[in-house]
Amino acid sequence: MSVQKFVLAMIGVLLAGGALAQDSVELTSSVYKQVLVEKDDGSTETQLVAADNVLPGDRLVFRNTIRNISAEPAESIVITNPIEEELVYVAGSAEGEGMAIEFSVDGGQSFAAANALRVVDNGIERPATTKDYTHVRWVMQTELAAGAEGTTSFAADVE
Amino acid sequence: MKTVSKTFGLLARLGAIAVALLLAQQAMAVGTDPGVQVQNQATVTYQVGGNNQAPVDSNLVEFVVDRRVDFTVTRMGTGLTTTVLGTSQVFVDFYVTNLSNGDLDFNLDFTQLVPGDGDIYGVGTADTGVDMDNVTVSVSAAVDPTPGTGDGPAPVFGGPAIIDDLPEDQSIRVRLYADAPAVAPNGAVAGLSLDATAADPTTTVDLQESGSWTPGSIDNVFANASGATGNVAIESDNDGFLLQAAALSIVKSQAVISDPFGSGRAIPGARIEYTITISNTGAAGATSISISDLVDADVTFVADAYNGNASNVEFDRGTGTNSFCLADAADGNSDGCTFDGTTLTISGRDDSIPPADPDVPIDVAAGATVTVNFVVEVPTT
Repeated sequence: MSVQKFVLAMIGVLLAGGALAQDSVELTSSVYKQVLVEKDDGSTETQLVAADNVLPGDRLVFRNTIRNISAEPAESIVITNPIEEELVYVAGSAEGEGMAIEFSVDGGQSFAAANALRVVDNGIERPATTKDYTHVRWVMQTELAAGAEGTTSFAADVE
Repeated sequence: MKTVSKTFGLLARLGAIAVALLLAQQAMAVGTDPGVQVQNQATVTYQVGGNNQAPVDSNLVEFVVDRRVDFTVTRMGTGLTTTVLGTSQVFVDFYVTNLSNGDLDFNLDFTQLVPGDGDIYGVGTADTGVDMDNVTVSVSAAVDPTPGTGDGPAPVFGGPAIIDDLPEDQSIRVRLYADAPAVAPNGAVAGLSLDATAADPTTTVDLQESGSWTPGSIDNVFANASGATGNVAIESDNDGFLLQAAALSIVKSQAVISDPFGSGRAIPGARIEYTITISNTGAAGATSISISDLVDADVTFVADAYNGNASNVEFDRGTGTNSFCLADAADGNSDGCTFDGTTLTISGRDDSIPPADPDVPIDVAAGATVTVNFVVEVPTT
């Protein structure tokens, strides 16, 4: 390796490190288990509890919180969340205020609205089901002001 | 046009049903295995001032799927198994179904039911306090081809006593072998339960319900109908045997068959025939019965009353042909009949005419009656 190439490589490393240190946003993920709780009056309500014991059939809620930690507004924000193969997305569960919600059925290579997704199954094209979803993403329609934060969430069942 | 439309609608519905069935089968077959680690990490891309920034990953959220312990034990019988007292290796069948999200072992045991356990198959089928003997557990050699039906191979005596690695959503037959007791009242009910305890598929140790959550490890969550018994998961089902016993009654009667004067009275020189009637009102046959009768010292046992004067005891077994035996002091003819001067003992018969000396046991089938006749004479001196 020439000295010139080495120096360039080191600059690259430093730039990468600098970029990490200077992220303008931070993204925090959490997971909860959705349970049905009976109240004193006999009625029931769903509550989110810590996802401690997780069993097949359990419904989990994944939540992402994005916060702009810089002094500048952040734009074109897209949050992408994979849906593990052990999980099945719950139809209509994705939420994100001021965000367009799209899904992928090809491992995150392409995204579209839920009703536009199609898959080829044994040579036959059919509308995608939630079992086909591999990713969900939220496209923020506005910029995220300095110091502001936004939240996204979706629910999935453990197979 | 309308017809075509209807046909299409029907086909569409049939297709929907087929899809529903397929989905149901898939739903039964899937279930994330315990120990599978599920991770979740989101990524954000964004711009600042119109310039793309390096993507930012969220923290990694991860959890381990725990073990849902759920299973059932189901008897295969539709009623008590009728069994004659003393019969060996009678059995009742069950199948155990693993409804958990992974392989499970099952340690198997049995319980002798007691009357307080209640009816097994409806009114009148409760255990009556009789136990079966030598109860053992045998597991089938293969799982049921159709889960939840018990249609797998019949377990054989001496087969495995535990269920090893039963996959999720599969079932396997289990048989309780037992020997019927030798003595019990006719109609007694001996109940057994098969008790299956969920066990670790690797160590075969009974699974304990996890008291608190341990991050990163497989916790056991009992979802079986009985929940935790102690701290383990046990499911049971009951079955039982209806025991058939012989119920013998014996009645003795007498009749003057001859006397010197034709008076029909028991005067000196008169011959009196005793008839011993043995009836079996039970549900099982009685075999190898033995009859003893103390002959009064004031009468004389007549040695040549039947069979052309060759026998002194006659049997009527309801076959249309009577049998005989010869009660002699030393039982020199080995036909099971002896008379030692005071006691007549009858434990065999001879079906041959003339007598051929075989010693045939005396049996009384369920519902049958056997009469035994012998004759005494009132001494003239």
